[in-house]
Amino acid sequence: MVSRLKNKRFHLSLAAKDRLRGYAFLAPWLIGLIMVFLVPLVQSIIYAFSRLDFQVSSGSSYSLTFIGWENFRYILLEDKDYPQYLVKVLGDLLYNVPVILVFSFFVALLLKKRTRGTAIVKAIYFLPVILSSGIFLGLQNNFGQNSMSALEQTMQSASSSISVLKSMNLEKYLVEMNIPQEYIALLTGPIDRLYSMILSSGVQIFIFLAALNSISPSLYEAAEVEGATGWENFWYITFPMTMPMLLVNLIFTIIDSFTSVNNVVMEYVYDTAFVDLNFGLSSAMGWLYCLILFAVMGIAVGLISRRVFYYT
Amino acid sequence: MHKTGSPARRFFSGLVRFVFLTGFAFVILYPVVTLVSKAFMHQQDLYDNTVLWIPKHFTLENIEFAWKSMDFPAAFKNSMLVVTATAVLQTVATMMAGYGFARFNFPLKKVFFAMVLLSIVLPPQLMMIPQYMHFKNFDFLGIIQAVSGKPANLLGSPWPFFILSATGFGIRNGLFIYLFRQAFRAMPKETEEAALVDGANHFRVFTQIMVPNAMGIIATVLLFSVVWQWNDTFYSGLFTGNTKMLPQAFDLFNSYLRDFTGGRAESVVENISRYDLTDPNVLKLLRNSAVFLIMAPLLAFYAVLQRFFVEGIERSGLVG
Repeated sequence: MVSRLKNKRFHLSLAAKDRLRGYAFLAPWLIGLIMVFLVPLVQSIIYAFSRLDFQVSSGSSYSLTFIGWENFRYILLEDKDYPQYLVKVLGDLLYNVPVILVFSFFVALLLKKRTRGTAIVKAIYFLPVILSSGIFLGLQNNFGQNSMSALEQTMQSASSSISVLKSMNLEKYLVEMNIPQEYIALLTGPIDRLYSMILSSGVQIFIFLAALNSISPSLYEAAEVEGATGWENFWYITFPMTMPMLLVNLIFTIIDSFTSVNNVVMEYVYDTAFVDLNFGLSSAMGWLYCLILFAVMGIAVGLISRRVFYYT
Repeated sequence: MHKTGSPARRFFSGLVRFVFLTGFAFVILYPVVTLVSKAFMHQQDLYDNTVLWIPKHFTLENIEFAWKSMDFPAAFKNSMLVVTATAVLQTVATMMAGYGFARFNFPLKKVFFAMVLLSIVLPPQLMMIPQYMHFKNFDFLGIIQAVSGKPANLLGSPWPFFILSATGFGIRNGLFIYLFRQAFRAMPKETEEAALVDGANHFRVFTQIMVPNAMGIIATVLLFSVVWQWNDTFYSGLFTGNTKMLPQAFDLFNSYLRDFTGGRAESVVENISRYDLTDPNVLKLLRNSAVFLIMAPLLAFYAVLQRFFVEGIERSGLVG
């Protein structure tokens, strides 16, 4: 029997062996794909169209009732918080993504030049990736402490470390200059968000930096011979050569802010499931959010990718 | 780098660069420095205007308080166990999958790879309810049901973390698979072919040629996996139940503080009466020391290995 099996394997074609080996290396992941990814994914689609009722008496069992689009109808027409949070997240995204991309590109340009101490400076600029902890951020922004009284919260945020980095003086100055309120908000916005902006551009800076370092110096040498200025160098060499990484960073930034646990919609989805124990509604909220994420990403990538320059 | 422009111009651009870089570095470092300095600061220094960062009254009281009231050793042990085990499991699982995608041809490869990308993009919150219920009534092909009569409840044990990691579906594991695939694809095929001709099988080629050559990317993935798992509050909140990991210990700490303030709880720590808990700044000081305890191991880890982090991203294969 054993020898027959061996013989049979011996006669497998090369392509067939390749196939088996591919599956062998993928085996753990394939088990996971079915067990902890696809099945939960399908289940959560089913939940989104159902109502789950728990039978407290019989432990963990529950009954599933199919209710069609009812959950979605409720979210869009009756729930007072969800649409509001959704608009807030989308608005923040629209504002934050360009700011983060420009900022991280700028910092990458600054970091590109090698001088003494570059290693230490890089280590500092990488720190935000390490500090991306909900607990640490909670200490900075005082979120996630709903249990505190309002007075406590105000007093805390007044003494919070971040208030040092706020643009109070600048704002006063601009008001005295008779600049309309809307423009002031536009100007002081990025400064007030400086900390959260820097915290969320850690990875992006280094992706841009790697892209900048991979540009061949011979391009700049040729440009110098031709008499190009620094300005022209930037727009005709540096910028087009880093465009593909702009796309990568764009996708990364969108996903990062959309799936962040501190995102208000995600918090709401979590609370609906584990505080209100409304699993069906929570799944529907999650899926609606996800579809919007795909739409946003599709639009953003579509807009950028047509302009991306690929140097081959 | 070749030099351009007049000396004055170069000096000016250097100055601009210096100002911006130190300015942003200050913004990044400020909260970290505050975290460390407040952790060792006596409460009477809080209202001393001559004290900014270096405490006049150096104390370990705050840390001792946080240490005891959140039962730090136990939570630290649980977190360490989960973090180290998941880092190793995730690295092995994603490395194998990455190699499979990089070197072999098999049916549905494109579909599977699309699934990898999907697992990067989809928010984990979508799967959380089914995963939660799945681990609450865990069974694999009906084996556990057959042996013990009922499915196992894995919530509160580290098993959900291990299972997700060993199958390559832990935190951002899709990204790891992608990185490994890129790294393996960039390696020359010739060494592998030579080894195969010499009679090594594919598994041996993988463990003895590919893995040693991929040490850089392995280090990167290990480090990121440790950092993300350590900072994770989502999965630990979802799966741990009564077994505490550090984020739950921090929640516990906060609720202790609330109870003390409300005069409801017996003090587990004898020196609680030393603190004026009606003062929000003192509360913040104590909370700060708890956060310091949680972040300190990670910061030390980073301080030692920061070179590998920075180099890791630069040669991650994402670029080029």
